[in-house]
Amino acid sequence: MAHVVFKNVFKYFDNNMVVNNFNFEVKDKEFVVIVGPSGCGKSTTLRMVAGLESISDGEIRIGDRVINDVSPKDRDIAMVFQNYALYPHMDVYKNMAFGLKLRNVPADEIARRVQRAAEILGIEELLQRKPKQLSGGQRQRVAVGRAIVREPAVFLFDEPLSNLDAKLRVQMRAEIKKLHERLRTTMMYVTHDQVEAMTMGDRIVILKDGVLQQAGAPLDVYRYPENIFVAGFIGSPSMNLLPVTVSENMVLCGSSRISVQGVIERIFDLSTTSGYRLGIRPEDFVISKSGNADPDTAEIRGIVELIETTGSETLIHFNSNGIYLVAKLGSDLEIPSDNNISLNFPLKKIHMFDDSTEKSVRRKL
Amino acid sequence: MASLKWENRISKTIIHVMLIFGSIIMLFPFLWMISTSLKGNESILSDSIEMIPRDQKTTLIDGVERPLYEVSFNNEQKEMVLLRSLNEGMAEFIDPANPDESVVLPLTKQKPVRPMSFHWQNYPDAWNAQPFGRYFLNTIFVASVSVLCQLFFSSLAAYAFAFFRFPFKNAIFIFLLGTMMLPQQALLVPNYVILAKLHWLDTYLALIVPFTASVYSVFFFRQFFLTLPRDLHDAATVDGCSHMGFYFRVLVPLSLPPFLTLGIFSFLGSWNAFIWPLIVTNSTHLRVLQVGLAYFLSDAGTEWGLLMAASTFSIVPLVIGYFFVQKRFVQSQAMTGLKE
Ligand SMILES: Nc1ncnc2c1ncn2[C@@H]1O[C@H](COP(=O)(O)OP(=O)(O)O)[C@@H](O)[C@H]1O
Ligand SMILES: [Mg+2]
Repeated sequence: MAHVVFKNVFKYFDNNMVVNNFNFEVKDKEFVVIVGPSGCGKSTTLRMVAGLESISDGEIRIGDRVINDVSPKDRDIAMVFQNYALYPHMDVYKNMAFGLKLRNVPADEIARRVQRAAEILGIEELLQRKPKQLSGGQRQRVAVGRAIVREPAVFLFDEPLSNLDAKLRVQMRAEIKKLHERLRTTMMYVTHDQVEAMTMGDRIVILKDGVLQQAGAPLDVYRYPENIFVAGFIGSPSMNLLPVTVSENMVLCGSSRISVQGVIERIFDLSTTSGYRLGIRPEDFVISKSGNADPDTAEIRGIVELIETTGSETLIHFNSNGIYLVAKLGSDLEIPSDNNISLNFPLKKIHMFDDSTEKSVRRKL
Repeated sequence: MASLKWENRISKTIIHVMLIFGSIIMLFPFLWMISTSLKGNESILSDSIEMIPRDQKTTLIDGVERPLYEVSFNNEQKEMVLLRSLNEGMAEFIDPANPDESVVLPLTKQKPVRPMSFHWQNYPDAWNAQPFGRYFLNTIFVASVSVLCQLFFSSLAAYAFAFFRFPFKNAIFIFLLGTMMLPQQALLVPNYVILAKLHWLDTYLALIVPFTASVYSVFFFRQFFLTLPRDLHDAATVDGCSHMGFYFRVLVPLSLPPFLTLGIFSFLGSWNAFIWPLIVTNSTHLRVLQVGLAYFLSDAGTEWGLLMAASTFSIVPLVIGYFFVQKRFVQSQAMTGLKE
C-alpha cells in the first residue's frame, strides 16, 4: 500500500514560506498531477517526498511510514528530473543499473530488470550508448527507465517533458500514462502545463504560492473551479472573468446587461447584489441564431477586435461595451462585415465568484 | 576569395613568427643550461659566448700548458702556440714543431683553436657530488603525496561549496578567496613558527602538510563543479548514493580535466619549490632536489658545470612526464572552459 499522505506540511526557505499547510492524500496506484505556475512550490513539494528537501513542519507518510527522517535511499521512491540527470560518464545500461548496484542487487537480477525496462520503453538497442549520443526523447526514456528498474512504491516526476519539443511531448505524455496503466504504481507528477495535468492525472492538485487551491478529477476541476485562480488557470484560452452586479433576472456588466432568467439563483448563492465576477469559458460560446429565445441561454453582443485561427478552431477577441472577451468557435465562421457579433452561451455553464474572497459561490449539491 | 586566402596566410605567418620568436626566448635558458652542463670550467668562465661546448686546445711547452692559435703568417695558416702577450695588442707565437723561432703578431687578428668538446663527465660527477638518488626519491615522494592530498581535500571542500547548503557558505568562500591575496612571502615566518610549535621542523610533515590544501584549487574545482547539473546530485541521492558515494562515483569521474590540470600545476610547483624546503629542513636525508642544487653554489666558488648538469637531470623526469600527459593536458586546458 503506497499511498502518500501530506499532513499540515510546511516548507520554509530561510523565512520564505514556500509550501503553506499542505494537506492531501495520494491514493495507492493513483496518478496525481501537481500543477501551478512557476515558483508556486510544486517541485519543493515533490522534493520533500523524495527527501531532497527537509520538511519544515508537518509530516509526510508513504504507506504507513512517516518518512520525515527517513533518508532518501530508504524511502522506496524513484524520481525523474526535468534535465534527465543521466550520469554522463556511464552508458545507458549502467545509468539504469546504478541505483540497483548501490543496493547490492545481484547482477543477474539487475540484468533482468534493465532488460525488461528497456523493452517497455523501446530502448534495447541503446543500452551501450552514452547519454550524449542520445536524443532528448531517448534520454528522457532512459531517465524513466532508471526509475522503473528500481521498482519503487512511488514514482516522482518533476516536469519530465518540459525540455522536449511539442510533438515529442504529446507522445511521451501518452507513454507515461500507459506506463502507469501497465505498472499500476503510485505516481506523483509535477508540471506547469495545465494541458499535461488535465490529460494525465487521475486527479490534479492546483497550487498557487504554496497554497493548495483545489484538488480533484480533471473534469471536476474544469467544470467546477472553486476559485478565480483555478478558473483562470485551467482551460485554454483562459476563462473570461467579468466584474458584474446582479439584479432581478439580469446580470449587469458595465453597460451590458445579460438576461439570466432566474437561472443563476438556482445554481449560485447570491446574498448581495454586487461584488461578483462572472466566468464564461471561451469554448462555451456559440454564434447566436436569429429568432433564438431559448430560456436557458443568454446572449452577449460585441465588436470583433481580433481573429486568430488555428484551422480547427477560431479565437474571436471581442469587445462588449468596454469589456474584453475571448470566444473559441468552430472553423467555418462568418464574421459580419461590420464586425458586430452576437454570441450565446448556456446559463448552466457560467461560473460566479465572490470578488473579495475570490471563491466560487456555487451552491453545494 | 583570393585576397581572403592571402590575408589568412599573412596573419598565420605573423602568428607563427611570433610563436617561434616566443619559443626561442623561452627555450634559450633551457638550451643554455644544457650547453653549460657539457662545458669545462675554463670555458664556462671565459668571455666567449658559445652555444656548442668547446675547449681551448693547448700544448705543453717547457712544462707549461699554452693555448694554440690559428695564425696567418706569410700567407699561410698555421697552428701556433701563444707564448706571451706584448704591449699594444701584440703577442709572441711559436710553432710547436719549431720552438726556437718566434713571431710577433697582433693578438686580436689570430683565432684561438677551440675544437668541440663535450664534458659528459659533468653528469656522473654531479650525480656523485651529492646523494641525488635520495633527493629524487624525496622530491617524488613529497610532490606526489602533497599533490594527491591537495587534490583530494581541495575537491572535497569545493564539493561542499558547490553542492551543499550550509550557513555562511558564501561568506566563508569569500573569506577563503581573500586569503589568496596574502603574498606567500608574508606567510613564510608565521608558517615557520606554527611548524616549530608543532615540532615538525626537519620532518616530511613540514614539507607536505602545508600543501595538502590550496585555496586556488578549491576555487578552481568549485567553478568546475558549478557547471555540472545540480540534478545529478539529486538523482544520485535518490538512487541511494551517500555524499562520499556521489563524490567517488560521479563527481570525480566527471571532473578529470580539473583534476589533471591542478594535479600537473601543483606537481610542478612542488617539484620546483625551493625556499620552503630550504628553511624547514636541514637534514641531508630530507633534502629535495632544488635545495640540493643550491649546494653547488658556495662561497668557495660555484661548480657551474656540475650545477647545470644536475639541473638538467633533475628536469628530465618532468619533461618525460609532460610528453605522456601532453595530449590530455592540452585537452583538459581547453575543456575546463566548456560546459559539457
Ligand atoms: N534551495 C532554495 N533556496 C531558497 N529558495 C528556494 C529554493 N528552492 C526553491 N526556492 C523557492 O521556492 C519557491 C518554490 O520553488 P519551486 O518548488 O521550485 O517552484 P516550482 O517547481 O513550482 O516552479 C520559489 O520561489 C523558489 O525561489
Ligand atoms: Mg519546478
